[in-house]
Amino acid sequence: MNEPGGELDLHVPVLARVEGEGAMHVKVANGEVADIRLEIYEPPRFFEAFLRGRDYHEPVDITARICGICPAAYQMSACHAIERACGVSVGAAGETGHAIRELRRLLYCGEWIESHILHIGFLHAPDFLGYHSGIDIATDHPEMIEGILALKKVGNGVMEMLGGRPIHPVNVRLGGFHRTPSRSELAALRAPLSEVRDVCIDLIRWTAGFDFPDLTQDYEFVSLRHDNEYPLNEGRIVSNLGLDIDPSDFERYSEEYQVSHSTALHYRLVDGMNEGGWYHTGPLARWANNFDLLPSLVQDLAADVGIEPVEANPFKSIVVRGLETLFAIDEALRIIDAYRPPSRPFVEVPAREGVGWAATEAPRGLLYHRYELDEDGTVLAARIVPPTAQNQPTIESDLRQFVARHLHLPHDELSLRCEQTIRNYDPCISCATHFLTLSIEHLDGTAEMDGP
Amino acid sequence: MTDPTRPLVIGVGNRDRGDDAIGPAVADIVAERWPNRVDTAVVEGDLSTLPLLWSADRPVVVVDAAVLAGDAGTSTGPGTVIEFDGLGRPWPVGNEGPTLSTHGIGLATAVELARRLDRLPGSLTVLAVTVGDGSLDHRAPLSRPLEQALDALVTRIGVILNLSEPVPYPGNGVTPQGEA
Repeated sequence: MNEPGGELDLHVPVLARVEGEGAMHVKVANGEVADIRLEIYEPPRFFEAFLRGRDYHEPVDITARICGICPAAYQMSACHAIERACGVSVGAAGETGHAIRELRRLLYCGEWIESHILHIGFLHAPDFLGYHSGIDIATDHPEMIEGILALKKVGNGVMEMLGGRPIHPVNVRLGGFHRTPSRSELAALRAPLSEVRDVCIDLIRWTAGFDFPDLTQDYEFVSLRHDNEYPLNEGRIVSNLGLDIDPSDFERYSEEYQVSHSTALHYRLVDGMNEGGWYHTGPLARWANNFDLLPSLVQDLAADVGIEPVEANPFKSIVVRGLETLFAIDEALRIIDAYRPPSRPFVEVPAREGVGWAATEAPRGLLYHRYELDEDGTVLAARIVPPTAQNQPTIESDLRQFVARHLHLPHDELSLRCEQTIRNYDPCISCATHFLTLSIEHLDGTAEMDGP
Repeated sequence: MTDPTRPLVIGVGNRDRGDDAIGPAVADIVAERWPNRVDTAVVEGDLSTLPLLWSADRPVVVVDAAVLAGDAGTSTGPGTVIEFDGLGRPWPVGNEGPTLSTHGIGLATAVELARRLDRLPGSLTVLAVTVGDGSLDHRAPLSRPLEQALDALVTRIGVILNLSEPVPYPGNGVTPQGEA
């Protein structure tokens, strides 16, 4: 146990069970939290820089390589932003456009299932149960891990059907897909999806029974909101505290900044309600801003397992991910049942000079893209804002609150709980690493800066 | 639905990444040579669902590209086949080396997961095929040494799985050595 009023130095040099390379440092002095740092030291990856000069068809495949677990999210944000720059709205392009819009939603459902399930079963659940890994869970709860594998397999199947591969899809292109499935091909997904519905409900009930540490904050939850559907690909960017903007205004209402301990840019809302402008994106934000758009079955199950319409305990995000997985399964079934193959697998997207913006809902939260094109469709500039970069200040705020309330815990347990606090956000550090603006200070006092 | 006791050959790898395609290439040939007598599967990167393909009555062969560490890596040429029993001892989970993603699950984790779930196959033979430097480029074909290893790999799988009465290899019309 830590001494009241004493000093404490928690340092986890390599965070486990997160995507990418990061560390955590917590310093307590005189019984108060003196310093909290989520350190991201993974090298910058230069994606925005090497998108410049590329043909406008290429970002869809290039940006997919940013992440191995949410490539479809990058593809969808790139497609929507570039299509907007070219003045094309796929969803408005008649029956073909409608079918493609629905297939894009289905692809996203597959990615949510894949990503959420892996995080629930193998990355986050071990924290609540005191295990080192998902393998250890399998020893005592084999039926749950069997179910998790079955759910993962179904998510992989959806991705493979539409994307051509379960990882890094290759079938997505501007305007739609290179090839769209026949009705019978898509119908083959129906049985496996139906079979895992009850498995998913069991998983939700299982995770809802975990012991959740006490932590709530007055978050500003930022997510997409669509008029009549739980958001995946489209919508306005809203918050529970009044933000309501078109994605094209995102950079006017948000501000990027750097901290010395992270290679990832940070983001804050310019007029955010929280001091410092930090905000929360991801499943809890989508949930809070779109609860009324969920099917009643999901709403009722949430009430039954103790999840509030605005859930402010980030540790309960594991349950919300399960509920979103159930939504994704039912949404996938709805799309499959109503599917009529389009007459063409894509709509034309002719190049033109312009700027396009889009935000979609990656499993971890809002994923914003902006592209500036010349008249030939060459990319002049690109901006990518991944969810983990947006959540970093919020994670640090959570850590600060959590440590302050749990200083009585033994050092090792507090350290583990801090890691768990970070994993609440399923952080994808590899997505978040970003080229930092280079600042050179000359000895004669002049300065120069360069960056994307 | 396939017979859950039928032998299964799993090719692990990416078809579009040069020598990483050795596993899928072997699985393709096995499927052609012994149709209806062996199941095949190709798995790219994420091996988390492998335990769902396994059962105690099923013999399994996994073929994967490999990079050897340390001195072995520099002294072993590309196309060398390293065969070992995948069930003989616990795999060193957590020391799998670099993987496609920390969100992906490798063969070691898949085996140990199956062990906990009582889903280990009746036998598990791993055929690891060494690849050369720079042979994993996008859209590259199999390198010559690995292409030359294909026949031997398929023949070995036939022996391991007791697949008698082989259909002649359709690719070149040559009956593999030892199976006439």
